[in-house]
Amino acid sequence: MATGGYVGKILYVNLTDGRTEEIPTEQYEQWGGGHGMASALFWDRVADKTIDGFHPDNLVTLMTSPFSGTLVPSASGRTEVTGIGVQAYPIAWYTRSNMGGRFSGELKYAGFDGIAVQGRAEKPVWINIVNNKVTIEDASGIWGMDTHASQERIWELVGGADTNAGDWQALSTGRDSGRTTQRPAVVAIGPAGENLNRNALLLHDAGNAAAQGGFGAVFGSKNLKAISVIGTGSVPVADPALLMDLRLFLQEDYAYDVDDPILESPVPDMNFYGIITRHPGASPVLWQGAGHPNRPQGCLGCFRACRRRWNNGIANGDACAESCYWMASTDQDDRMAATHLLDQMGLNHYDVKNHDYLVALYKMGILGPGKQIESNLPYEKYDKLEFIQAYTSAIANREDIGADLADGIARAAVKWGRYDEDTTSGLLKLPNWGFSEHYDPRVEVEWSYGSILGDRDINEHGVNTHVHWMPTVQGMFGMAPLVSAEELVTQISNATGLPPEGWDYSEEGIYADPKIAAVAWHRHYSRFWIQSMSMCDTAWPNLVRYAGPDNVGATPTVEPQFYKAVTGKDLSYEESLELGRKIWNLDRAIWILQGRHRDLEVHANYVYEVPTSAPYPLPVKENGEWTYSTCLGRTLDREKWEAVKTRFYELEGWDAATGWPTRATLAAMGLEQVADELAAAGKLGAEA
Amino acid sequence: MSDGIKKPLPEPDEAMVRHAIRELDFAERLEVHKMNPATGNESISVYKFPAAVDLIFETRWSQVSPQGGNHAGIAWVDLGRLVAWVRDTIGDTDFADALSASTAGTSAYKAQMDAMRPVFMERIAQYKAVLAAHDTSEAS
Amino acid sequence: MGDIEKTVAGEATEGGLSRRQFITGVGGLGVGAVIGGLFVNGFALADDVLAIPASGGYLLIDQKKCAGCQSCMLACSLVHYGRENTALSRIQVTQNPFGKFPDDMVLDQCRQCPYPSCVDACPTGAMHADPETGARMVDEGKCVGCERCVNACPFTPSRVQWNHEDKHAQKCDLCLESPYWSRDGGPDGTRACEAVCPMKAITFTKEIPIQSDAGYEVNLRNSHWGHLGYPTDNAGRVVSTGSTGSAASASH
Repeated sequence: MATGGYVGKILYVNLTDGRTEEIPTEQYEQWGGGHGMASALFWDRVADKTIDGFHPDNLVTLMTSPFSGTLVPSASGRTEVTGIGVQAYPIAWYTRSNMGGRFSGELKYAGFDGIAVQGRAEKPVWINIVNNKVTIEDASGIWGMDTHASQERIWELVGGADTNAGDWQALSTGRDSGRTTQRPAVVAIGPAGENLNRNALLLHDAGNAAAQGGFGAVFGSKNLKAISVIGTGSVPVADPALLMDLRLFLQEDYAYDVDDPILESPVPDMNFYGIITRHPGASPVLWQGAGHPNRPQGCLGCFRACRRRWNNGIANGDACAESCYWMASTDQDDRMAATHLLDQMGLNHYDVKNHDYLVALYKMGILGPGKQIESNLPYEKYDKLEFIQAYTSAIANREDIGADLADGIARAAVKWGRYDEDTTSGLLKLPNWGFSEHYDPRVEVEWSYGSILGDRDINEHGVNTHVHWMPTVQGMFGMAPLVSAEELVTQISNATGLPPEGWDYSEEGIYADPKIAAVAWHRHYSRFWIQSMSMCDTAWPNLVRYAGPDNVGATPTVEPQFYKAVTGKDLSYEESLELGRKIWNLDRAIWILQGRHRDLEVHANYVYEVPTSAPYPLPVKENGEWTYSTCLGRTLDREKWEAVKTRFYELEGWDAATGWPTRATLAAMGLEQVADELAAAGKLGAEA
Repeated sequence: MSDGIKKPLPEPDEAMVRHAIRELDFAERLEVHKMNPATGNESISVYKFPAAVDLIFETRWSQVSPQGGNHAGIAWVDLGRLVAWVRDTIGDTDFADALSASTAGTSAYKAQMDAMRPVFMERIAQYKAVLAAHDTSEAS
Repeated sequence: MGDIEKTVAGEATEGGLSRRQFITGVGGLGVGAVIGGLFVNGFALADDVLAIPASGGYLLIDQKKCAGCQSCMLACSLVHYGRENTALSRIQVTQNPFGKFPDDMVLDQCRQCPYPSCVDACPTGAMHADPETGARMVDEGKCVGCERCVNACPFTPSRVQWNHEDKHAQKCDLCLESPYWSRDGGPDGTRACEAVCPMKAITFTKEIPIQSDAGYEVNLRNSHWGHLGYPTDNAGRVVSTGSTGSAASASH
């Protein structure tokens, strides 16, 4: 039993009958937190796992972890979101997303370790949580508002007109009801979610989004506009002094020193180099401060503050991919305006960014006014703000081509009869489950294998930052890699406990057993530490240090130390991987019930047929020597991939013929009842 | 590549410039790879010469000057293909020749880009001067 | 600061210092404030008024450097109470995520006022100036929950909080009583918010700041900050590209 981290109850809300329930967290404590608890709750409360994501019985959770709301660095502010998604193609898997900001901390202060929502309200509602008091409110006055306006209106509704005064506000009557200066933490959907766009997101504050999976549409299908939470309670910590010491140690030894950095970008005002330095505000990678006075902006308790807040209030908090939504214009103001609109509409950049594909079809004479694919958007003005605004609004509102794109680019391409041709030629790069390409699936295989073996684009940058970005960024600046390939893989090997060959991206290495073990490690580590303990993927795992007396990263030493400091429980690194594996297997069982089979786990054709044509630095071991290769001219080999699958399944204890876990494997993890349900569906893996 | 004696580019004529900056067909596009920690290696199709310049050099067409060009060299483009595109698609042989000459003796990508950048900036400034002299509205 | 005799209100000091002498620092006493309250831990001056010493130090914050992560708030409640609760933090950060820099955020640290209205207001002497360090702080055992101190603070939000869980007033004590970490607090020790701030936006001074808003604001943004594309001017309005910065180097 933990003596810290948890606040004791998970809130369950049924929107069909308005019933709320407090589930004791200790019933799920064995799952850690976040995703683990979410999947266990889903398993228990969704009888028919084959339902569609829009079905009222779909259970959406917003889960914290024991670290949420505490000083564990870059682990305090993130909220994990789970449920049956509506985005992935051809089957919308049970899936996950997450978001930064402060929602998870505020939820803990209100007294809840998570929220689980099921059912469907008759009319638009929002959920109002003020400490222990939970009410379901009429959202008719805010339905139709964009994500920002909705939140501002809810602040007024929760706090009264004085909310913006920045003064102490009692959350109830009585001297001891608790007071706060903070605004409620709100997560809301925009027009896209209300219109059931499969790529609608949940937005929190200005730029924090749970964007993958289409949870904005799932909310919309439940007539749920928003959830607001505000609290004044405490999160217990088992060993507070140790937590404080660990925090200061990690910050002093591993964080960027803003006043006197050891390693600094060679070029001023260059966020791009921040992938290495992790300096504050680095994540809007192509935006500059020049001409746009700003401050760094960090999620609750973060020690790197990767976002920015700008002097015009546009695109506040936007980072990473969404800041690159529209590249056709290099005007930063235009780019920021485009991203800002995306936030307000509540749309997932990662799917709707395929406007360049539409323009290609336009250029080919296939799409446009009176063409085979009818659309009257101003494609000839592609590099003008007018275009991207029209495009974004059309998708959010299901207008013009937006009617097709509301189901996501993959389904739209299918509808247009172009999916097979364009994902074979690579004109449309959707390597796995209809998700846009993120990192090159032909070579960076933890990413592509992990994505196809799972439910979505994995979006876990902990390894990628080192194996790909460090040598790439150094090279683009005309500099040698900060560490040699051999030193790099040695450090990663030490930090992960896997052999260095697990980080060999050569033609042979990507099909070898060490690589397969590395892929499994990645799934297990991430399922536990990143997704169940809410550690941010831009800071964790901490595998290699570039600025310091040596290259040794903080992983895997500090994670169990933080766990012990907060919860009071001992959990070794090996045990944490085992717990991650258990959670991964539970997810696997859900996908299998939804229809997963090894035959489906095949990437889009271009991955096997179109060779890489731009340099893609990765470490390789060739002729016994480690170097960074540009990996040109590479494809994945179909047969070798099938062989990898077989050996991966065997490693995981799954039936090689189907990819389904066996009873023995599940039982060894205490998942007998999962085996029972798979067996009842005729989907239990045969024993070897 | 040392500066040596830099031969100025011959002035382009208006017809060639207008041809160079025209809207291109699908088959005439240039693929620029944007390296991006957020979205990986993204291939961006460019259908206009000014847009290619903007993307490759992260600058704004309107702000280009002979001394200009931004630092953000985070795009990658196959330089051989780029020069061929300038020669065959854009149709500016003098420019293509100057680009080839500027990178003679260098092989590292950044060094080649650094060598090409001033040639690009000089040629674009010349394009703009020609357009300004012949037209009140500048093609963008 | 000189060795201050703790006296019961109303007793005169030896030698009978005048108010003027006190303010000018005669007799080795730190300059604090002269106030009219009767139950303050202070000492009487010759002209029948009471004086309390100045605080041993003051937190200064660069509002424009702050990233709004609230780590300071999390650290404050953690080192004082061993638990995490932003409502129990003695330093508060309020912000508007949709706001426009630099007007999007307010930093509300206690100013350790030379004239502490909170101390003056306390009827039991629970709110007092620590004799050794001058930190204005609460003796929890004496607090009767009248909240006069909370209401007396001239600033919004009040820098004195009502601790609704432990039922006493609380305020910044410069970490003088911060049992839940391994460092010593106080003016001569380490302050948790200052130590934990990842942007190094909080600093500490022993010199009494100018008693206006400008006095507690400080510009802590050097050329390395400007190098990252942030404004380094006081008003936070100008981003130049700053220095060219050091060349990236391998760690060894």
